[in-house]
Amino acid sequence: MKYIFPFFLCTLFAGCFSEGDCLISATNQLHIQFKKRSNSKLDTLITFNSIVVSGTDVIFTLKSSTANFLLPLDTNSDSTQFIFKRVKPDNSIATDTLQLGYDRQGKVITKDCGAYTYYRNLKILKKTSLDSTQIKIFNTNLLKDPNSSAITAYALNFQIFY
Amino acid sequence: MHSTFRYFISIIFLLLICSFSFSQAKETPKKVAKPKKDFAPTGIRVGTDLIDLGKTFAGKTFKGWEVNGDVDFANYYLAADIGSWSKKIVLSNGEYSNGGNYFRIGADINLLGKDPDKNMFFFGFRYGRSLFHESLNYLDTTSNKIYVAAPYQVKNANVSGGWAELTSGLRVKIWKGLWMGYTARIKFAPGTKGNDPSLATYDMPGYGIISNKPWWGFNYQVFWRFAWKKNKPVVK
Repeated sequence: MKYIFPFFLCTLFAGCFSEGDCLISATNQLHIQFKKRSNSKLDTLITFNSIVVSGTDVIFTLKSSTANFLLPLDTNSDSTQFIFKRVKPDNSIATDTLQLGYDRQGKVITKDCGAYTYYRNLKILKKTSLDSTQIKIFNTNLLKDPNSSAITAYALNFQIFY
Repeated sequence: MHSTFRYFISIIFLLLICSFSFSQAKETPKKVAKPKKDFAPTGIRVGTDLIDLGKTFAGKTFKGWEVNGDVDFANYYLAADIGSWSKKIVLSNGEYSNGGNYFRIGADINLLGKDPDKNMFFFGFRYGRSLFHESLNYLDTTSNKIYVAAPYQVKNANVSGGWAELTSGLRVKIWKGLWMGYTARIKFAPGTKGNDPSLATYDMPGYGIISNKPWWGFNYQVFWRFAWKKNKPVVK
């Protein structure tokens, strides 16, 4: 019984001074899901020949069809343009362009964890061959669960209906 | 017969005396009028925080000072603080710095109201305002490796903010006008405006790290009291 009070004090002060782990929820990964236009609850597998992302020379190629993926936002600009070369059911190639704007916000987590950039207020600046009913915005902030690296750990930003 | 009559008269007389004295005893004592509290201030106490001065001279990351003052109104005190601080914090991937001025205003109640020296054990509240600037330089290490990490330089040139505090502490007369004491604070409800969207406000002078809600503070203070009226013990 007599140790309860000192234990309580230690716990209280430990809580005050402990920096804790560095749980960083910042990311520049945009999470996009593909759904069927006829039934928005069902996933649709899309095959892409390539995805060109502005601000880098890297061209993304996907080996197999996918129903969702992560794409990076340009960390050195307030906008990023994506050019999707999509394989249509008749095997012809369609080109969809999507240009996104966003705010980058620097945030100090702690002295030991450092500072990170948070991407907020995501908005569509330009799109070609995609009409407004084909894109649904879910979350305008890019965030991830720091305890997981699975694709589901990233906040869903857009659903695109094909 | 005569002696019986005398005996009877004596008993009646005795009973009368008794009943008179009992009725006297039952009478409620006259209420003495309570002297009114004298709310006229008797002096002003001006001091400074020794912890801020110690941190300023001992380290390189913090520079600051704080002046504290209070005026008595019976066992109530009007309290005000002004101060300034600047910080330079080396982060794991950059550097953060800020600087600015702040003030707090509020009231304390002295729970030792009958103390002839006006020593204090008090509870109170404060409202604080701060005007400051801050800047952050860092290299973002979370971003996808396909982009070359460029150093970010962002700043808030002119931010204002406010917060509230609950306070408690001691003030003890040491010698003549010299007083010492401490103030412990629980700070809460911080808010800022005027910050640039490119930088989330991190540390507000007077409050501390804004994401810590509530946050705490501690001052160890030395005062000099300029008295213009002799202390009178406060009547409760």
